[in-house]
Amino acid sequence: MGEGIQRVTRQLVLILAVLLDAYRRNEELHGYAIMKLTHLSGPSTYRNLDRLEDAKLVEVRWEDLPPGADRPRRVYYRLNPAGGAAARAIVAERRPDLLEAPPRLAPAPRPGLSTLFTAVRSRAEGAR
Amino acid sequence: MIREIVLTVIVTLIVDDLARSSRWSAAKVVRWSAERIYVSDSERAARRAEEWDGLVSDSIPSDISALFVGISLGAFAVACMARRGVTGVASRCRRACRRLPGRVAPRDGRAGFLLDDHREASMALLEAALELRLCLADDVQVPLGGTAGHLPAIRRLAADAQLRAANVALLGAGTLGESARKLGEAAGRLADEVSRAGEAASGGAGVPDVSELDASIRAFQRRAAAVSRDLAGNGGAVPAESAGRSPGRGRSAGDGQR
Repeated sequence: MGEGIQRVTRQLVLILAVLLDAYRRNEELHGYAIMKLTHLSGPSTYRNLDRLEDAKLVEVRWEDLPPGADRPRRVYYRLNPAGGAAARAIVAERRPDLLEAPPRLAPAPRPGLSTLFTAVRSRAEGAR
Repeated sequence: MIREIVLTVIVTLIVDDLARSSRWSAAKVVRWSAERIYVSDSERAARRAEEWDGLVSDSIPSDISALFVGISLGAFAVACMARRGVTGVASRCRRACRRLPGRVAPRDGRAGFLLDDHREASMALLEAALELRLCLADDVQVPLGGTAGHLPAIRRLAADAQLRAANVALLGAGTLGESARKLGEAAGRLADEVSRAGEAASGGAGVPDVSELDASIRAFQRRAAAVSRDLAGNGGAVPAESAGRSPGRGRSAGDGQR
């Protein structure tokens, strides 16, 4: 079980749980989605993703963007079959509740300050 | 009335500008952080730099959240740099200890009596003290952790350092033994302080004061290096005041060649 992982921490179990949920649904997650689902900070998330990469339990894929796209590429993470088996064993042992009810993303993203500014600006322009 | 309107417009513009520049600043910080965190892996550093740039520039919907992510990654990079600094001190200590001759070849009819077990005890003490220091450095760099989570490990490492210090002191009661004793006491006091702080604030103690431990480690390292130099100068015989043994009580030449 997770032979490539030297030390299983609470944060690693959370990340494995969300990646396992995505793996079961044949989906892949980018870093920010993992941060949101696990409520972990950036350093904690990426440190654990590094560990999973080093243990060769996740596959990393750069997003394919059409030429001229005006946003940077995203990196997607997905468990490989060995990672799926290891994650299932680790999560079942440490947090079996997450196997039944893994954290999922809310359907609508919360508006940030930029959204608020955009709304206020468009309303002000409309009033003019 | 006009003044308030103008003030509102100016404040709005400033806040808007700050919010826009926060993403730009966060992107700069995360690129800098990636280079500092993955010093030994340039391929991963370049990948993370591009990934984190995209994260703070595009993926995170809120400007302030993007700035926070940038700051947290920047803080982590600074912590990694500090950790590498501590590790550098550790490797320098190990190198200094390696210079302590374990079994000194007889020269001019004299044999060194800084024995294998003395050198090994010194190295074990330094390693235990530095492991304790690294454990505390880990705690300092984890923003939400505090020392409470590592309390059993800190206690164990401090007890280990004290045991090793006692071992060195027993082998030689001179200045090296005195430095070892002080180092052990500093480790014990630090563990007590962390325990007390952990009990007082259950969940997250503050950052412990590691200056005494650092000073003791440096003093022991200097003492060990001085003993090593004395040994080299004395043809293998350690000065009595350093090792705490009179040459007459040392191991004989025949013992040294075992």
